[in-house]
Amino acid sequence: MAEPIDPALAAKLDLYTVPGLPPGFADRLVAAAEAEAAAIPALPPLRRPQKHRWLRGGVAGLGALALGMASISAAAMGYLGEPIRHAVAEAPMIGKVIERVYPKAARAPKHAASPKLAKPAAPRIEAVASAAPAEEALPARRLTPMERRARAREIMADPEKRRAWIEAHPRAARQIIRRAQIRQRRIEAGIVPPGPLARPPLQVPLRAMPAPMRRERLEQLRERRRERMEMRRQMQAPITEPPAGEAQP
Amino acid sequence: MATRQTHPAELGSGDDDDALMRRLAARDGEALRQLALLHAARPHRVAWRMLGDSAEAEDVAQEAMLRLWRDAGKWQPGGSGVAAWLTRVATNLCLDRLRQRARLSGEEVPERADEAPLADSLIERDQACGAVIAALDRLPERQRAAVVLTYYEELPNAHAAAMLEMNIKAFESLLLRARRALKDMLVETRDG
Repeated sequence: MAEPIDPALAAKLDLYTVPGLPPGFADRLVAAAEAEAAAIPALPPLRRPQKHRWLRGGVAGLGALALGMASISAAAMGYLGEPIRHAVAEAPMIGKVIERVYPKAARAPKHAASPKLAKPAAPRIEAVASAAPAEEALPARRLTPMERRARAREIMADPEKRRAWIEAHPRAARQIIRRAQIRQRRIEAGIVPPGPLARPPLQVPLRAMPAPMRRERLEQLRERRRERMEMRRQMQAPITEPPAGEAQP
Repeated sequence: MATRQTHPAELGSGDDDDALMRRLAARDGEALRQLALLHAARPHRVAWRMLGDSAEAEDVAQEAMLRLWRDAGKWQPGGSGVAAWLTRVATNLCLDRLRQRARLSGEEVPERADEAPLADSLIERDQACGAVIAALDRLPERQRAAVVLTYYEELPNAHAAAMLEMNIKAFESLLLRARRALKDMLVETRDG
Protein backbone atom coordinates (compact mmCIF):
# COMPACT_ATOMS: atom_id res chain seq x y z
CA MET A 1 0.00 0.00 0.00
CA ALA A 2 1.40 3.38 -0.91
CA GLU A 3 1.99 5.83 1.84
CA PRO A 4 -0.42 8.79 2.04
CA ILE A 5 0.63 11.91 0.23
CA ASP A 6 2.22 14.72 2.13
CA PRO A 7 -0.39 17.43 2.86
CA ALA A 8 2.04 20.17 1.93
CA LEU A 9 2.67 18.52 -1.41
CA ALA A 10 -1.06 17.98 -1.91
CA ALA A 11 -1.66 21.66 -1.29
CA LYS A 12 0.86 22.53 -3.95
CA LEU A 13 -0.50 20.02 -6.45
CA ASP A 14 -4.03 21.28 -5.97
CA LEU A 15 -3.00 24.61 -7.41
CA TYR A 16 -2.75 23.02 -10.82
CA THR A 17 -6.25 23.39 -12.16
CA VAL A 18 -7.31 22.47 -15.65
CA PRO A 19 -10.12 24.05 -17.66
CA GLY A 20 -12.87 21.94 -19.06
CA LEU A 21 -13.33 20.84 -22.63
CA PRO A 22 -13.27 23.70 -25.11
CA PRO A 23 -16.65 24.72 -26.50
CA GLY A 24 -17.65 22.89 -29.67
CA PHE A 25 -15.42 19.92 -28.92
CA ALA A 26 -18.25 17.42 -29.37
CA ASP A 27 -19.33 19.00 -32.66
CA ARG A 28 -15.81 18.91 -34.03
CA LEU A 29 -15.43 15.34 -32.89
CA VAL A 30 -18.62 14.18 -34.58
CA ALA A 31 -17.69 16.00 -37.78
CA ALA A 32 -14.26 14.35 -37.79
CA ALA A 33 -15.77 10.92 -37.19
CA GLU A 34 -18.32 11.32 -39.93
CA ALA A 35 -15.68 12.59 -42.34
CA GLU A 36 -13.56 9.58 -41.51
CA ALA A 37 -16.49 7.24 -42.12
CA ALA A 38 -17.23 8.91 -45.46
CA ALA A 39 -13.64 8.67 -46.61
CA ILE A 40 -12.76 6.32 -49.43
CA PRO A 41 -12.39 2.80 -48.06
CA ALA A 42 -9.04 1.13 -48.26
CA LEU A 43 -8.27 -0.88 -51.35
CA PRO A 44 -8.89 -4.61 -51.02
CA PRO A 45 -5.83 -6.77 -50.65
CA LEU A 46 -4.26 -8.12 -53.79
CA ARG A 47 -5.60 -11.46 -54.89
CA ARG A 48 -2.11 -12.69 -55.54
CA PRO A 49 0.57 -12.29 -52.91
CA GLN A 50 3.35 -9.92 -53.84
CA LYS A 51 6.02 -12.53 -53.18
CA HIS A 52 5.12 -14.45 -56.39
CA ARG A 53 5.90 -11.51 -58.65
CA TRP A 54 9.23 -13.05 -59.67
CA LEU A 55 7.41 -16.24 -60.66
CA ARG A 56 5.19 -14.38 -63.11
CA GLY A 57 8.27 -12.77 -64.64
CA GLY A 58 9.88 -16.18 -65.04
CA VAL A 59 6.83 -17.63 -66.72
CA ALA A 60 6.69 -14.69 -69.13
CA GLY A 61 10.38 -15.14 -69.94
CA LEU A 62 10.00 -18.84 -70.60
CA GLY A 63 7.00 -18.17 -72.83
CA ALA A 64 8.96 -15.63 -74.86
CA LEU A 65 11.87 -18.07 -75.19
CA ALA A 66 9.58 -20.86 -76.37
CA LEU A 67 7.92 -18.54 -78.88
CA GLY A 68 11.29 -17.48 -80.22
CA MET A 69 12.46 -21.06 -80.67
CA ALA A 70 9.23 -21.99 -82.41
CA SER A 71 9.59 -19.01 -84.74
CA ILE A 72 13.17 -19.95 -85.66
CA SER A 73 12.13 -23.54 -86.31
CA ALA A 74 9.26 -22.44 -88.50
CA ALA A 75 11.50 -20.08 -90.44
CA ALA A 76 14.10 -22.80 -90.91
CA MET A 77 11.48 -25.21 -92.20
CA GLY A 78 10.24 -22.65 -94.68
CA TYR A 79 6.83 -22.01 -93.18
CA LEU A 80 7.48 -18.26 -93.15
CA GLY A 81 8.57 -18.05 -96.79
CA GLU A 82 11.66 -18.86 -98.80
CA PRO A 83 13.61 -15.63 -98.15
CA ILE A 84 13.29 -15.99 -94.41
CA ARG A 85 14.22 -19.66 -94.64
CA HIS A 86 17.39 -18.75 -96.51
CA ALA A 87 18.23 -16.00 -94.04
CA VAL A 88 17.82 -18.32 -91.07
CA ALA A 89 19.70 -21.17 -92.73
CA GLU A 90 22.59 -18.83 -93.52
CA ALA A 91 23.10 -18.06 -89.84
CA PRO A 92 26.24 -19.99 -88.80
CA MET A 93 25.00 -21.94 -85.83
CA ILE A 94 21.43 -22.39 -86.97
CA GLY A 95 22.54 -23.53 -90.41
CA LYS A 96 24.73 -26.26 -88.93
CA VAL A 97 21.98 -27.48 -86.68
CA ILE A 98 19.47 -27.55 -89.52
CA GLU A 99 21.88 -29.39 -91.78
CA ARG A 100 22.52 -32.01 -89.15
CA VAL A 101 18.90 -32.59 -88.24
CA TYR A 102 17.41 -32.13 -91.66
CA PRO A 103 19.88 -32.66 -94.53
CA LYS A 104 19.51 -30.66 -97.71
CA ALA A 105 18.71 -33.72 -99.76
CA ALA A 106 15.74 -34.56 -97.58
CA ARG A 107 14.50 -30.96 -97.45
CA ALA A 108 11.60 -30.48 -99.78
CA PRO A 109 11.01 -26.94 -100.86
CA LYS A 110 7.30 -27.52 -101.10
CA HIS A 111 6.64 -25.71 -97.81
CA ALA A 112 8.40 -22.62 -99.05
CA ALA A 113 6.13 -20.32 -100.98
CA SER A 114 3.97 -23.16 -102.15
CA PRO A 115 1.49 -21.83 -104.68
CA LYS A 116 -2.08 -22.93 -104.43
CA LEU A 117 -2.01 -24.57 -107.82
CA ALA A 118 0.77 -26.89 -106.67
CA LYS A 119 -1.50 -28.54 -104.16
CA PRO A 120 -1.77 -32.30 -104.52
CA ALA A 121 -4.72 -33.42 -106.55
CA ALA A 122 -7.58 -35.48 -105.25
CA PRO A 123 -6.38 -38.82 -103.84
CA ARG A 124 -8.14 -40.96 -106.41
CA ILE A 125 -6.66 -39.09 -109.38
CA GLU A 126 -3.23 -39.17 -107.80
CA ALA A 127 -3.54 -42.91 -107.33
CA VAL A 128 -4.48 -43.37 -110.95
CA ALA A 129 -1.49 -41.28 -111.98
CA SER A 130 0.83 -43.34 -109.83
CA ALA A 131 -0.49 -46.53 -111.40
CA ALA A 132 0.09 -45.12 -114.89
CA PRO A 133 3.53 -45.00 -116.50
CA ALA A 134 5.73 -42.11 -115.47
CA GLU A 135 5.64 -40.41 -118.86
CA GLU A 136 1.84 -40.44 -118.78
CA ALA A 137 1.43 -39.03 -115.30
CA LEU A 138 -1.70 -36.99 -114.93
CA PRO A 139 -1.35 -33.29 -114.42
CA ALA A 140 -1.66 -32.08 -110.84
CA ARG A 141 -4.85 -30.14 -111.47
CA ARG A 142 -8.30 -31.62 -111.01
CA LEU A 143 -9.67 -33.13 -114.22
CA THR A 144 -12.89 -32.03 -115.77
CA PRO A 145 -15.65 -34.67 -116.00
CA MET A 146 -15.07 -35.02 -119.74
CA GLU A 147 -11.38 -35.57 -119.22
CA ARG A 148 -12.13 -37.99 -116.43
CA ARG A 149 -14.39 -40.06 -118.64
CA ALA A 150 -11.82 -40.04 -121.46
CA ARG A 151 -9.15 -41.09 -119.02
CA ALA A 152 -11.37 -43.89 -117.71
CA ARG A 153 -12.06 -45.13 -121.22
CA GLU A 154 -8.36 -45.09 -121.95
CA ILE A 155 -7.58 -47.09 -118.82
CA MET A 156 -10.30 -49.59 -119.44
CA ALA A 157 -9.19 -50.10 -123.05
CA ASP A 158 -5.71 -51.17 -122.01
CA PRO A 159 -5.66 -54.47 -120.03
CA GLU A 160 -2.41 -53.54 -118.27
CA LYS A 161 -3.67 -50.15 -117.15
CA ARG A 162 -7.00 -51.62 -116.18
CA ARG A 163 -5.34 -54.26 -114.03
CA ALA A 164 -3.12 -51.68 -112.40
CA TRP A 165 -6.04 -49.36 -111.71
CA ILE A 166 -8.09 -52.19 -110.22
CA GLU A 167 -5.22 -53.14 -107.95
CA ALA A 168 -4.91 -49.53 -106.88
CA HIS A 169 -8.66 -49.04 -106.33
CA PRO A 170 -10.17 -52.37 -105.31
CA ARG A 171 -13.21 -50.91 -103.61
CA ALA A 172 -14.15 -48.59 -106.46
CA ALA A 173 -13.56 -51.42 -108.91
CA ARG A 174 -15.94 -53.72 -107.02
CA GLN A 175 -18.58 -51.00 -107.00
CA ILE A 176 -18.23 -50.42 -110.74
CA ILE A 177 -18.40 -54.12 -111.47
CA ARG A 178 -21.49 -54.53 -109.35
CA ARG A 179 -23.24 -51.63 -111.05
CA ALA A 180 -22.31 -53.04 -114.42
CA GLN A 181 -23.78 -56.40 -113.45
CA ILE A 182 -27.00 -54.78 -112.33
CA ARG A 183 -27.23 -52.83 -115.53
CA GLN A 184 -26.54 -55.95 -117.53
CA ARG A 185 -29.37 -57.77 -115.76
CA ARG A 186 -31.71 -54.86 -116.42
CA ILE A 187 -30.79 -54.88 -120.04
CA GLU A 188 -31.32 -58.62 -120.21
CA ALA A 189 -34.68 -58.18 -118.54
CA GLY A 190 -35.61 -55.53 -121.07
CA ILE A 191 -36.16 -52.88 -118.44
CA VAL A 192 -33.72 -50.36 -119.81
CA PRO A 193 -32.37 -49.92 -123.31
CA PRO A 194 -28.71 -50.85 -123.89
CA GLY A 195 -27.78 -47.25 -124.75
CA PRO A 196 -27.84 -44.28 -122.45
CA LEU A 197 -31.30 -42.95 -121.74
CA ALA A 198 -32.21 -39.79 -123.50
CA ARG A 199 -33.27 -37.31 -120.93
CA PRO A 200 -36.09 -34.98 -121.83
CA PRO A 201 -34.63 -31.77 -123.18
CA LEU A 202 -36.39 -29.62 -120.60
CA GLN A 203 -37.35 -30.60 -117.09
CA VAL A 204 -40.67 -28.94 -116.42
CA PRO A 205 -42.09 -29.20 -112.92
CA LEU A 206 -45.28 -31.16 -112.65
CA ARG A 207 -47.16 -28.27 -111.13
CA ALA A 208 -46.29 -26.05 -114.12
CA MET A 209 -47.41 -28.59 -116.70
CA PRO A 210 -50.76 -28.35 -118.45
CA ALA A 211 -53.23 -30.81 -117.03
CA PRO A 212 -53.17 -33.32 -119.94
CA MET A 213 -49.37 -33.34 -120.03
CA ARG A 214 -49.24 -33.73 -116.26
CA ARG A 215 -51.58 -36.71 -116.37
CA GLU A 216 -49.45 -38.32 -119.07
CA ARG A 217 -46.23 -37.64 -117.12
CA LEU A 218 -47.68 -39.00 -113.90
CA GLU A 219 -48.76 -42.14 -115.74
CA GLN A 220 -45.20 -42.56 -117.03
CA LEU A 221 -43.77 -42.22 -113.58
CA ARG A 222 -46.25 -44.72 -112.16
CA GLU A 223 -45.37 -47.16 -114.91
CA ARG A 224 -41.67 -46.85 -114.20
CA ARG A 225 -42.29 -47.33 -110.53
CA ARG A 226 -44.21 -50.51 -111.20
CA GLU A 227 -41.38 -51.70 -113.44
CA ARG A 228 -38.80 -51.02 -110.73
CA MET A 229 -40.81 -52.87 -108.15
CA GLU A 230 -41.23 -55.77 -110.50
CA MET A 231 -37.52 -55.83 -111.22
CA ARG A 232 -36.74 -55.86 -107.49
CA ARG A 233 -38.90 -58.83 -106.99
CA GLN A 234 -37.20 -60.58 -109.90
CA MET A 235 -33.62 -59.78 -108.96
CA GLN A 236 -34.08 -60.29 -105.24
CA ALA A 237 -31.36 -57.79 -104.73
CA PRO A 238 -31.67 -54.24 -103.48
CA ILE A 239 -31.34 -51.51 -106.02
CA THR A 240 -29.81 -48.49 -104.41
CA GLU A 241 -30.48 -45.97 -107.13
CA PRO A 242 -32.93 -45.56 -109.95
CA PRO A 243 -31.94 -46.46 -113.49
CA ALA A 244 -29.49 -44.12 -115.09
CA GLY A 245 -31.09 -41.15 -116.78
CA GLU A 246 -34.29 -41.43 -114.78
CA ALA A 247 -36.12 -38.15 -114.82
CA GLN A 248 -37.04 -36.76 -111.48
CA PRO A 249 -40.48 -35.34 -111.03
CA MET B 1 -7.51 18.47 -2.43
CA ALA B 2 -8.13 20.54 -5.49
CA THR B 3 -11.26 20.53 -7.54
CA ARG B 4 -11.00 17.73 -10.03
CA GLN B 5 -13.91 19.00 -12.10
CA THR B 6 -15.37 15.59 -12.36
CA HIS B 7 -18.60 15.74 -14.30
CA PRO B 8 -21.37 13.90 -12.48
CA ALA B 9 -22.16 12.00 -15.64
CA GLU B 10 -18.67 10.53 -15.61
CA LEU B 11 -19.85 8.31 -12.79
CA GLY B 12 -22.60 6.91 -15.00
CA SER B 13 -23.28 3.23 -15.01
CA GLY B 14 -21.66 0.78 -17.39
CA ASP B 15 -25.08 -0.16 -18.73
CA ASP B 16 -25.43 3.32 -20.21
CA ASP B 17 -21.99 2.97 -21.73
CA ASP B 18 -22.86 -0.38 -23.27
CA ALA B 19 -26.06 0.97 -24.79
CA LEU B 20 -24.23 3.95 -26.22
CA MET B 21 -21.48 1.73 -27.53
CA ARG B 22 -24.03 -0.41 -29.35
CA ARG B 23 -25.33 2.71 -31.03
CA LEU B 24 -21.78 3.78 -31.74
CA ALA B 25 -21.08 0.46 -33.43
CA ALA B 26 -24.04 1.23 -35.68
CA ARG B 27 -22.27 4.48 -36.59
CA ASP B 28 -24.65 6.74 -34.68
CA GLY B 29 -23.07 10.19 -34.55
CA GLU B 30 -25.43 11.32 -31.80
CA ALA B 31 -24.19 8.51 -29.57
CA LEU B 32 -20.63 9.73 -30.12
CA ARG B 33 -21.70 13.21 -29.13
CA GLN B 34 -23.26 11.91 -25.91
CA LEU B 35 -20.20 9.83 -25.10
CA ALA B 36 -18.01 12.87 -25.64
CA LEU B 37 -20.13 14.94 -23.29
CA LEU B 38 -20.03 12.16 -20.70
CA HIS B 39 -16.44 10.96 -20.86
CA ALA B 40 -14.16 13.16 -22.97
CA ALA B 41 -13.33 15.48 -20.08
CA ARG B 42 -11.20 12.93 -18.28
CA PRO B 43 -8.81 12.13 -21.16
CA HIS B 44 -8.65 15.85 -21.81
CA ARG B 45 -7.59 16.55 -18.22
CA VAL B 46 -5.08 13.73 -18.19
CA ALA B 47 -3.55 14.96 -21.43
CA TRP B 48 -3.46 18.54 -20.25
CA ARG B 49 -1.62 17.68 -17.04
CA MET B 50 0.77 15.27 -18.72
CA LEU B 51 1.56 17.41 -21.73
CA GLY B 52 0.98 20.88 -20.30
CA ASP B 53 -0.51 22.16 -23.55
CA SER B 54 -4.14 22.90 -24.29
CA ALA B 55 -3.99 22.23 -28.02
CA GLU B 56 -2.22 18.93 -27.58
CA ALA B 57 -4.66 18.01 -24.82
CA GLU B 58 -7.58 18.57 -27.16
CA ASP B 59 -5.83 16.57 -29.89
CA VAL B 60 -5.28 13.65 -27.55
CA ALA B 61 -8.87 13.73 -26.30
CA GLN B 62 -10.20 13.79 -29.85
CA GLU B 63 -7.90 11.00 -30.94
CA ALA B 64 -9.00 8.85 -28.02
CA MET B 65 -12.65 9.44 -28.89
CA LEU B 66 -12.02 8.65 -32.56
CA ARG B 67 -10.36 5.39 -31.58
CA LEU B 68 -13.46 4.59 -29.57
CA TRP B 69 -15.51 5.32 -32.70
CA ARG B 70 -13.31 3.09 -34.86
CA ASP B 71 -13.18 0.18 -32.42
CA ALA B 72 -16.81 0.34 -31.34
CA GLY B 73 -17.52 -2.93 -33.10
CA LYS B 74 -15.04 -4.73 -30.85
CA TRP B 75 -16.51 -3.40 -27.61
CA GLN B 76 -17.10 -6.03 -24.94
CA PRO B 77 -20.02 -5.14 -22.64
CA GLY B 78 -19.58 -5.38 -18.90
CA GLY B 79 -15.98 -4.20 -18.84
CA SER B 80 -14.39 -1.40 -16.92
CA GLY B 81 -16.36 1.20 -18.82
CA VAL B 82 -15.76 3.82 -21.45
CA ALA B 83 -14.10 6.32 -19.11
CA ALA B 84 -11.42 3.85 -18.03
CA TRP B 85 -10.83 2.83 -21.63
CA LEU B 86 -10.47 6.44 -22.74
CA THR B 87 -8.15 7.24 -19.85
CA ARG B 88 -5.90 4.35 -20.75
CA VAL B 89 -5.80 5.33 -24.41
CA ALA B 90 -5.14 8.98 -23.57
CA THR B 91 -2.35 8.04 -21.15
CA ASN B 92 -0.64 5.92 -23.79
CA LEU B 93 -1.01 8.67 -26.37
CA CYS B 94 0.54 11.16 -23.95
CA LEU B 95 3.42 8.81 -23.19
CA ASP B 96 4.03 8.43 -26.92
CA ARG B 97 4.10 12.18 -27.38
CA LEU B 98 6.43 12.69 -24.45
CA ARG B 99 8.84 10.08 -25.81
CA GLN B 100 8.67 11.74 -29.18
CA ARG B 101 9.52 15.07 -27.58
CA ALA B 102 12.47 13.46 -25.83
CA ARG B 103 13.74 12.03 -29.13
CA LEU B 104 13.34 15.33 -30.91
CA SER B 105 15.06 17.29 -28.12
CA GLY B 106 17.89 14.78 -27.96
CA GLU B 107 17.80 14.73 -24.21
CA GLU B 108 16.42 12.37 -21.68
CA VAL B 109 13.36 13.67 -19.94
CA PRO B 110 14.73 13.48 -16.38
CA GLU B 111 17.74 15.55 -17.32
CA ARG B 112 15.81 18.36 -18.93
CA ALA B 113 16.93 21.78 -17.88
CA ASP B 114 14.83 24.16 -15.85
CA GLU B 115 14.57 26.53 -18.76
CA ALA B 116 12.15 24.28 -20.57
CA PRO B 117 10.00 25.99 -23.21
CA LEU B 118 6.94 24.91 -21.31
CA ALA B 119 8.04 26.95 -18.29
CA ASP B 120 8.62 30.00 -20.46
CA SER B 121 5.21 29.77 -21.97
CA LEU B 122 3.56 29.65 -18.63
CA ILE B 123 5.12 32.75 -17.12
CA GLU B 124 1.92 34.67 -17.43
CA ARG B 125 0.02 32.10 -15.50
CA ASP B 126 -0.17 31.89 -11.81
CA GLN B 127 3.28 31.62 -10.31
CA ALA B 128 2.41 28.80 -7.97
CA CYS B 129 0.59 26.86 -10.64
CA GLY B 130 3.51 27.41 -12.95
CA ALA B 131 5.85 25.91 -10.39
CA VAL B 132 3.73 22.79 -10.19
CA ILE B 133 3.58 22.51 -13.96
CA ALA B 134 7.31 22.89 -14.23
CA ALA B 135 7.84 20.29 -11.53
CA LEU B 136 5.58 17.82 -13.26
CA ASP B 137 7.33 18.51 -16.52
CA ARG B 138 10.66 17.60 -14.98
CA LEU B 139 9.42 14.21 -13.88
CA PRO B 140 10.00 11.18 -16.08
CA GLU B 141 6.92 10.51 -18.14
CA ARG B 142 5.81 7.39 -16.30
CA GLN B 143 6.17 9.07 -12.92
CA ARG B 144 4.17 11.97 -14.26
CA ALA B 145 1.48 9.62 -15.45
CA ALA B 146 1.38 7.89 -12.08
CA VAL B 147 0.83 11.18 -10.25
CA VAL B 148 -1.80 12.39 -12.70
CA LEU B 149 -3.76 9.15 -12.60
CA THR B 150 -3.67 8.52 -8.88
CA TYR B 151 -3.78 12.01 -7.44
CA TYR B 152 -5.64 14.12 -9.95
CA GLU B 153 -7.92 11.43 -11.36
CA GLU B 154 -8.17 9.50 -8.09
CA LEU B 155 -7.77 6.13 -9.69
CA PRO B 156 -6.85 3.20 -7.47
CA ASN B 157 -3.24 2.18 -7.68
CA ALA B 158 -4.19 -1.16 -9.19
CA HIS B 159 -6.11 0.48 -12.04
CA ALA B 160 -3.36 2.98 -12.71
CA ALA B 161 -0.80 0.18 -12.71
CA ALA B 162 -2.88 -1.75 -15.20
CA MET B 163 -3.13 1.29 -17.44
CA LEU B 164 0.63 1.62 -17.43
CA GLU B 165 1.02 -2.13 -17.85
CA MET B 166 2.98 -2.50 -14.63
CA ASN B 167 2.61 -4.74 -11.62
CA ILE B 168 1.33 -3.10 -8.48
CA LYS B 169 4.62 -3.23 -6.57
CA ALA B 170 6.56 -1.59 -9.33
CA PHE B 171 3.85 1.02 -9.72
CA GLU B 172 3.85 1.90 -6.02
CA SER B 173 7.60 2.22 -6.10
CA LEU B 174 7.30 4.48 -9.15
CA LEU B 175 4.65 6.57 -7.43
CA LEU B 176 6.77 6.90 -4.30
CA ARG B 177 9.72 8.15 -6.28
CA ALA B 178 7.50 10.64 -8.09
CA ARG B 179 6.09 12.07 -4.88
CA ARG B 180 9.53 12.42 -3.34
CA ALA B 181 10.78 14.21 -6.41
CA LEU B 182 7.82 16.58 -6.38
CA LYS B 183 8.19 17.20 -2.69
CA ASP B 184 11.84 18.04 -3.22
CA MET B 185 10.99 20.45 -5.99
CA LEU B 186 7.90 22.10 -4.54
CA VAL B 187 7.90 21.82 -0.78
CA GLU B 188 11.51 21.60 0.18
CA THR B 189 12.59 24.34 -2.23
CA ARG B 190 10.17 26.81 -0.80
CA ASP B 191 10.90 25.80 2.76
CA GLY B 192 14.61 25.78 2.16
